[in-house]
Amino acid sequence: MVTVRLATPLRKFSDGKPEITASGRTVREVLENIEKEKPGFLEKVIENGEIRQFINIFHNNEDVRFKKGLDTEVQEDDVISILPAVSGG
Amino acid sequence: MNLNEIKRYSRQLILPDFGTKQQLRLKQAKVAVTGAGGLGCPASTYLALAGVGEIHLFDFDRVELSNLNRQFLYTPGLEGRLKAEAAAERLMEINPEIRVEAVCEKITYDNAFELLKGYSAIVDGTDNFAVRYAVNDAAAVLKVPLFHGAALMYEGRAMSIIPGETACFRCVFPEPPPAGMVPTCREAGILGSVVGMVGAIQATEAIRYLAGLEIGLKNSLLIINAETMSFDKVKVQRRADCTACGERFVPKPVEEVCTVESVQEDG
Repeated sequence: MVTVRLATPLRKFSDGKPEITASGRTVREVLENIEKEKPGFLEKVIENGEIRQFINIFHNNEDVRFKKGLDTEVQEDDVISILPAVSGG
Repeated sequence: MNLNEIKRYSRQLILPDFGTKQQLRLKQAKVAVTGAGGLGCPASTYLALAGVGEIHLFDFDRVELSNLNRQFLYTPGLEGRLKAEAAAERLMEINPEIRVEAVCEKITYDNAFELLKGYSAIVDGTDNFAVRYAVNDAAAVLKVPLFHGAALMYEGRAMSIIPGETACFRCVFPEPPPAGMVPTCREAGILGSVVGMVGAIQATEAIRYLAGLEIGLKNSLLIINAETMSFDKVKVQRRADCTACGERFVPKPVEEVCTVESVQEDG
């Protein structure tokens, strides 16, 4: 299982919790498995197979855009963080 | 430095990498703090305490009672006063050795490039995407270092942007989220100590940078979660096609939106 940290604006998909666990061999599989539990999640994060412009996905603290994107392989105990910008201040 | 200053700053002057030279650099610095709210109060206070010679506080809002759980430069008696003016007065009481000016003007994409000219650094404490992107783009074009911070509920973010060297806010977030996805503090809430941590981090980065010391949030976005008290530092990178700091600047104003769905309604 990997740990998935969801930024505050995405917490409705984790019942308000800051992190959840999910399985999968790639970032895409992990996201698809969350979608099975929480329908509507995927479309907030992905559009036409690509990560939405205003969303960042970090795998072990590195932006997956600079790795293999959604095909980035993940392993047991890895951490994925999903975040849009926030603006409060 | 006069004797008062030597005494006042003595605890930082004895730091191993800090001395008269660094203190004088702070004294000569002119810093813009955009927003005198939850981030701007702690950030500007620490800049003032550290001895940044000139601080310009940008805010056109007035003090409201609902600000007082976090914006500690204000007291109930100041309700209705212009924040930037009240904060500037308070900061000069805290440190009479420095100069603080209030700029009670709304920053927009049209005026940011003019308003933010000539600063040694900008500390961003604004509360909406329209101004954040305006400040980011102006800082990139004007080549002014920008110390980013944001907070929402129990989450905080900070990042230091050095022009020509590091990713800017737009490299990381080319576009703001659609209206309704990300609520504001007004809608979703904020705890003073959380936004205080972020403001203190922004100030620390700015102070070290201005003093000529190494800083820790270059090409890094710090994500603070105060529920689990986890501090994640994720790596970010410049984008060659960034419209703000990339090969070609393209003006891209972001519209100010009033988010209608709150976090509760949204989920």
